[in-house]
Amino acid sequence: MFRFLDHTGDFALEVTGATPEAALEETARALVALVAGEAPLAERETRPIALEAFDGADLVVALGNELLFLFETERFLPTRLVVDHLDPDHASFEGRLFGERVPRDLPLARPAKAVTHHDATFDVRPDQTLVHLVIDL
Amino acid sequence: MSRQDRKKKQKKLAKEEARAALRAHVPHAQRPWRSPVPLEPIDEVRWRIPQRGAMRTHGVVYADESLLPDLREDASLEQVANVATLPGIVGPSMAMPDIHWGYGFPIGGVAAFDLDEGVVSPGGVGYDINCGVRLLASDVDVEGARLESTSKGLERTRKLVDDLFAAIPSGVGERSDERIGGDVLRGILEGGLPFARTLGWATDDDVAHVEENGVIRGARADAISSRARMRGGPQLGTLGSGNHFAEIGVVDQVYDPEAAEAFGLRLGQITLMIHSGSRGLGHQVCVDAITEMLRAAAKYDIPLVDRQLCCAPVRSVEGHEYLEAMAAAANFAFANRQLMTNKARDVFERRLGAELRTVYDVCHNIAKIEEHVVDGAPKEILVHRKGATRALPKDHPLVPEAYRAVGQPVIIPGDMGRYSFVLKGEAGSAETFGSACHGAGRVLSRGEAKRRFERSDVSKALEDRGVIVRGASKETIVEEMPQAYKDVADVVDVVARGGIASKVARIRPIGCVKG
Repeated sequence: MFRFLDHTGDFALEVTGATPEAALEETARALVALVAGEAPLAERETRPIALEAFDGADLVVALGNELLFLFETERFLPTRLVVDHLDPDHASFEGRLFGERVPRDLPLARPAKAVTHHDATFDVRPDQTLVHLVIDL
Repeated sequence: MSRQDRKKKQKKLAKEEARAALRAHVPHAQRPWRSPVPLEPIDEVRWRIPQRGAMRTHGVVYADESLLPDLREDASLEQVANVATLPGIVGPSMAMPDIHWGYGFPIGGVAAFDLDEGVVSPGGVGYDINCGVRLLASDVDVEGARLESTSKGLERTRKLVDDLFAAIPSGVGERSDERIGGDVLRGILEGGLPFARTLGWATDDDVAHVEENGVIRGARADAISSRARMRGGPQLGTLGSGNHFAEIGVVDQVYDPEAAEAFGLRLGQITLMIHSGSRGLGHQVCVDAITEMLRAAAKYDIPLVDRQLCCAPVRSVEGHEYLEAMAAAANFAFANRQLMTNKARDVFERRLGAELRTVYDVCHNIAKIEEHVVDGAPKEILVHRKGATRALPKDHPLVPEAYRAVGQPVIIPGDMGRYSFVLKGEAGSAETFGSACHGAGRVLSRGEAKRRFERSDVSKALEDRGVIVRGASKETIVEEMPQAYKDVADVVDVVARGGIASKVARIRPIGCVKG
């Protein structure tokens, strides 16, 4: 589950997942929704993704920036992320992205430059994991 | 377990240990203030945030009573205080009157650092390195070009806007039609606009009327990662997205005839303003640098109240490498605005038979080593401007010769429905290390803007005012509607009353291409 929060200059995002893995997967979905809006996306290709960071907050920022990089360099937008392995310290994961390269003329909702570290959280609780991100538009 | 597996496991353990060690040592400091942050009046346009906790200096916010209520509604004042916690800060942590909530630094933030004791922070520059504004003046006026707001005039403006929209690629991730080789990209990154001039992309006159003459010294192309090149290299000559724009305007007020004449501005003249930056290349340079700076903050034991403020000593290897990469991205941005200028020149020539001359080009997301007076003596310091414009007074040697008798042009875009301003730097900018505001500053979040208005309503309302708008993304026009911003006249009024910069001319928009 995710929702966009008001932020005067940029855009903020709050994500909830039942597990840390689910929170990462949902964060990917939220970021794609931010950029693509309601544009129809299909699962035409699968690609592996592996990221390392300092901790969970840094990892979720790295995930966001990796998705923006893939979009800007290849126009690749995933419909979903599957996390196959998340380290116990939540500082690295391996997974797969399912999605497609979208055409240049596909109308998109909104630009995004980067996912910032400002107030970035990856808060793992016994019953759920909460993510908070601020995105520079 | 095989020998190979054992090695693999050992390597993984070592990595985990290194990460754990880093986490344990990234020093964290408590935020000095939580909203509401107290503001003590200094005078009618200056407010002090008292020093406390981890703050190494106080904060100074430039605003008047009319701007204060909006400031108190978000976390921007906390961010002014947070910046004051960084080591080696010289003078106060400052915020210009267009301050609004950013990430790390507030937008509108200015902070200077000692070269020996201080730090450089990529968050103090932002992702869009050398985002800036170029103002171009045409040689035709609104009547001569028949762009007046009659129905025929609006149609002619629409065609002009459509042609600009077609000529200048816009939107996130949009690529240029031009393909440039690795050597050319290297030349741009290290040589900026003077290098572009050698390719025939810029004239001597263009170069003479750009901040730093279009090149930030010390740039090193190899300091830019391959990911940054991949992401941004193909985007040279593109507008980008968000609040970026190319806006056709008409000079509708002249406040300072002498300065206006020096800048080549006159009543009724058609202008073009281009607001853009270093595109994906700059964004990736910042992403890469922040990862390095988090490590550096741990290495140099720099307490952080916000990870986005991560930094390294100016004199460190990490600081030096960031400044090299930042300068390269800044040079890319100068060339980017130049290429869009060339495309706009073609359109103006074709549609109006008009020429466009560069009035000035300013950076507003940058960190530069500059000489300013500190404690009564000239000193080199590293000035971070995160949404702030350099504003040098008359007789300053860095002001282009043609403008030296009046002061540096300070270009302050407003929203797309009201007006923008051209100011000139004044002597009072010495207290802000030669800095003024950079725009109107947002007051409504993008979400709130969308809740209040529909895209079609915004476009129609603007057209009723005589402004034709085209946008690349579905949401941008409504998110960037005029009501989402402060009235830039109020913002400019504060810097004028503060003696930082004074008004030269006002420009009313008639057509806008939004990213």
